[in-house]
Amino acid sequence: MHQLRNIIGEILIIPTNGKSMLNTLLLWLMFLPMISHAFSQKTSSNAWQPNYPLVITVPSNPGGGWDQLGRFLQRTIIEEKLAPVSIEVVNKGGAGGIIALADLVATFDGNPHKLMITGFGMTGATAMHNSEFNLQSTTPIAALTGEYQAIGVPYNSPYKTLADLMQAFKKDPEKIIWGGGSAGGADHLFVNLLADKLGINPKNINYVAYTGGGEATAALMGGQVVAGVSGYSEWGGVVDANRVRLLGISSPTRSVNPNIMTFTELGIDAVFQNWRAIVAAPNISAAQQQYLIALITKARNSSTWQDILKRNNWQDNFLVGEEFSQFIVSDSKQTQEIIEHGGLGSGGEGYAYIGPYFFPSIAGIGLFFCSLFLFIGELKNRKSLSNISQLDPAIKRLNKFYFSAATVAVYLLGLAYLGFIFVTPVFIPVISRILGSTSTKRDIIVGILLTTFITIVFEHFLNVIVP
Amino acid sequence: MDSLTNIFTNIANGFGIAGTPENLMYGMIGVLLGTAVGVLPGLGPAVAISLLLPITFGMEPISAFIMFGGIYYGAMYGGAMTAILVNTPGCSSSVVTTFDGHPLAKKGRAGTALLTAIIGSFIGGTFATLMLMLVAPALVELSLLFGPPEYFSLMLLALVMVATIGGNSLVKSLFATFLGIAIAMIGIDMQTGTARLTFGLPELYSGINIVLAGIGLFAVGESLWVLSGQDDKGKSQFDSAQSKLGMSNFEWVRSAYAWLRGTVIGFFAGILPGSGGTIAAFMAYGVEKKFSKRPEEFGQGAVEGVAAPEAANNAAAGGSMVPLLALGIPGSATTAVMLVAFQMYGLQPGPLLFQNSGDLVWGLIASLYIANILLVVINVPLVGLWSKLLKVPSGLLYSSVIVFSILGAFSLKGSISDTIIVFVLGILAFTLRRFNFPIAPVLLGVVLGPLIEQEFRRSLSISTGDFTIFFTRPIALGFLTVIALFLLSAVVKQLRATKPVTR
Repeated sequence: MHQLRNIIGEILIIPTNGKSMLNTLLLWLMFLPMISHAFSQKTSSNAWQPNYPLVITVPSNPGGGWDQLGRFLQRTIIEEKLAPVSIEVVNKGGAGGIIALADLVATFDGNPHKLMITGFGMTGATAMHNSEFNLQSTTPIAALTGEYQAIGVPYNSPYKTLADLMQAFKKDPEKIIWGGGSAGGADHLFVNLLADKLGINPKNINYVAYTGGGEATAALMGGQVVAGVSGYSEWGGVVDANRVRLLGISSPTRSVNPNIMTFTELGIDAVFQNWRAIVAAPNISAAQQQYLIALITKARNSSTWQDILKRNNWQDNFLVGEEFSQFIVSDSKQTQEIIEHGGLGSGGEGYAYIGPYFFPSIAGIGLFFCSLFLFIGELKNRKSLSNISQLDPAIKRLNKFYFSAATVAVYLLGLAYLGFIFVTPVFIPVISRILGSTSTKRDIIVGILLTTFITIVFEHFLNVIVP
Repeated sequence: MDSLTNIFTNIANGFGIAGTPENLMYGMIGVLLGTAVGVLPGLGPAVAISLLLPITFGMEPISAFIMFGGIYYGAMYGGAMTAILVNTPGCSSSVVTTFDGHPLAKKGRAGTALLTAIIGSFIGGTFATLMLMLVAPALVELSLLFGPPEYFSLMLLALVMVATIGGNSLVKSLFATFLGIAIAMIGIDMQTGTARLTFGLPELYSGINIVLAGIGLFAVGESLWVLSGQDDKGKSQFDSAQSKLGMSNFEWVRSAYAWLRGTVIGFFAGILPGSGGTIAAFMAYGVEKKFSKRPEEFGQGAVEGVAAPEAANNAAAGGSMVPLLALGIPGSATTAVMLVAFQMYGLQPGPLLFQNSGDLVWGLIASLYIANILLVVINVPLVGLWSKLLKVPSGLLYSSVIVFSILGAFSLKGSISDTIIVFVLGILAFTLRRFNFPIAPVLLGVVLGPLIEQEFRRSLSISTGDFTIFFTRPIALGFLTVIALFLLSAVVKQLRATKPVTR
C-alpha cells in the first residue's frame, strides 16, 4: 500500500517537460479511481488521522452558550495535546444555526475536518423554519453538555414559591410577563412547554424576547418583566448576590441544586434540558467518525474538561454513537410537538401585541408618501425648466458605472466558481485601468502580491478560508 | 472618603500587577494586532478578540486582560482609520466617523482627522475607565431603571436628532431613513420567530446587519462612485496641496468641547445594555451638530464630527464594562465575547466580583488604563505614515478597497451570499447618490429601526397593549418631551427659512 502511494506521488510531481503536461493529466485521471481506492483502503485498515487543521464551527455569533462550548473544547484539546493538528474555531451565526447547518451539509459533505457545535436550539430552529436540512443529515459525534432551565423572579417579587407563580400563570397568563432569549430558542420553547402542560392557550403567553440572556436578566432585575427564564448556569452571580430568586428548575430531581423546587414536584411534567453537542459533516467514513468520537471522548474524560464542567455548572450529558443518534430523533420529536402545540413557526404569527408586520408596514407607508411627495415635486420642476441636455454628461458617466458594476459582478461570480486566488490578480488591474491607470504591468504585480498577502493573512492568521 | 482611599490603594496594586515590562509588551502587541484586524472592513472588536483568543492560551490572566484591552481599543481605532482614509468603516461604531472624517481626508487633512480621533478615543476610554472605577455600582442601578419604554423613547430621540444629517431636503432624508428601516426588517423577527421580507430565501434569514450595510452602502458604494468618475475634479482624489498633519489652535479648541461632550454621551449610552458604541456615536454626532455654531460645516469635514463620535464610541466601550463587571451582564457583542474570555481565566463577573477576585479586577481596570495610553503611544507616530496611504494611485487604492470589502463581508459568516448582498447595497447607494439622496440616514435607519421596533413591541407586551405606558413613566415622558421640543423647533426654523422666499 505504501509503495503504491509512493508511485502515485512520483507521477503527480513528475517534472513536466513540453507536451508531458497533458500526459500527466491523463495519467492522473487514469489513476484517480486507484487513488481513491487506495485511500479508502488505507482508512479502513489503519486508523485515520487528520492531515489538515480541524475546524469547529460555532453556529452563532461570538459570545453565548455555543461559542463558550466550542472555545472551551478547543482549549481542552490544545491543552491536553489530544490532536496531531491544530484546532480552530470559527463563528457562523444566523437564523438559530440553520445557516451553519446548511453549510456543513451542503458545502462540506464528506469533509472529515469540519465539526460543528449544535444543540437544542438548532432542532428548534430547523423545525420552526421548515429548514431543508436537519440534524439527522449530519454525522453524529457526541452530546457533551446539558443545562436545565431555571425560572427566576426579582428578589422582592410577590411570588415567593414556584406554586405561587404557576397558579398565577394558570389563572391570568397574560399578567405573567416572561423575559428570555429570542423567540424559538430554548427559553421561549420552555415557556411554551410549561403553558402546554398547564393547559394554557399559547396565544395568551406574554413572552418578551431579548437579544441574549444578559439583557433579559437586566430587565428582570429592573422589574420590567415578572419572571425570567434562562439556563441554570447563566444566572450565576445575581442569584448569589440576592438580586434574583430562583423558584423552579426543569430537572427531574433536585440533583442540581437541592434548594430549588422542580416542576415534577408540583406535578407538572416539564422535564427539559438544553443540550449541546458536536457533529461532523455528512458522509465521512466510519474510520473518520471513529477517530473524531475517540478525540472528543478523550477530551471529555480529561481533568481539564471536568474542571470546565464544574466551573460552568454544566451537566455532563455525554452520549456517543447509537445512543446519541436516538437522542437526536426523540428530542426532535418533542421539539416538533412543542412548536406545533404553540402554533409557532413560519405559519403562525405568534401572539405579540404588535405583530411582526406592523413596522415593515410603517416603513412601506413612509416610503410611499415620500416618493409621492418627491414625484410631485419632480413634476413641478420638469414643467419649469425643460433643459434635459444638461443631463448629458451624467449619462455618459453612467455607462462607466454600468461597466464597473458589471466588473464587480463578474468578480463575484469568479469568486464563487473559480476562487479568490485566480480572479483577484485580474480584477485589480482592470479596476485600476478604469480609474485611468497607465502602467498595467505595475498593477498586475501589485495584484499578485496583494492576493498572496491577503490569502496568507486571512487563512493563517484570521482562520478565514478565502473562497 | 475611606472608600476613596481604598480605591486608590487597590488601583495602585492593580498597576503594580499589570504594569510589568512583559505585560506592557503584550499590551503593545494587542494594540497592533487589534488595529490590524480592525482595519479590515467587517471585522470589529468582537471578532478581533475572538480570533485572537487562542493566542492568549497559557498566559497569565493579567497579561491576557491587558492584551484584550489593547485589542479592543486597537480594533476600534483601526475601524476609524479606514473610515477616515477611504470612507470604509472597519467596524460598526466607526460608521459615523465617515461622515466628516472622509471629507476631511479629501481636503488633505487626513492627519488632523486621525489625530483628533486618537486623542478623542484616549479621552473617552480613560474617562470611562475612571468612572468604572469610581461609581460603577451606583450607575448600574441607574441603568436598571431603563425598561423598554425608556429605551424606545431614547432611541426615537436619537433618530429625530440625527435624521436630518447630510441632507438638504428633509423629504429625501426621510425617504432614506425609511429605506434603512425597511432593509433592517429583513430576516427572522426576534419577538415571534417569523421570517419577514425574505422572499423565501434562507440566505436572508439572518438579515442585513449594520456591518453588512456599512460595507455595502459606504465602502462598495463609494468605490463605485469613484469608479464611475462622478468625482473627477482633476485626476487626484485627494487635495494634497494643503496637507497638514497637526491641528491648529482653533481646531484644538473645537475638538476639546466635542471630546468632552462625546465622552459623557458615550459613557451613559454604553452603560445601558443593548445600546452600545454605534448609537453613542450617532447621538454624539447629532448633539454636536445641534449645538454647533457652524452646523453647515457638518458633512463637509468638521473636526467636531470626528472628535465627538470617536470619543463617544470609546467611552461607550468603557461604559459597557460597567454592567459586565458589576452584574455579569454583557450589553454588546464585544462584551459578550469578553465575558467568555474572562470566564476562561477564572474571572466570573457579577455583583460579588470585587469581593471574590479583587486582585484580578483591579489588575483588569489598570490594564484598561494602560491599553489606552499604549493606543496613543503607538498610533500617534504612525499618523503621518497612514495619511501617506492616500498617495497610493487611486486605481490600486479603490480596487483593494473593493477586494477587502468583499472579503470582509465574506468572512463574517463565510458565505458568498453576503458578498452579493454587499454588492447590491453598493449599487443601491450609488443610485441614491446619483439622485441626490443622502446615504447616512439609510444607515441610521438600519441601526435604530430594529431597536425602536423591538422596544416598542416589548413595551406594549409589558403593558398588555396599553399605550399610556409611554406617558406614565417619568424618564420615557422626559425623552418624549425633548423629542416634541426638537420637532417643534425644527418646524419653526423651517417656517422662518421659507418666509423670505414667499415674500
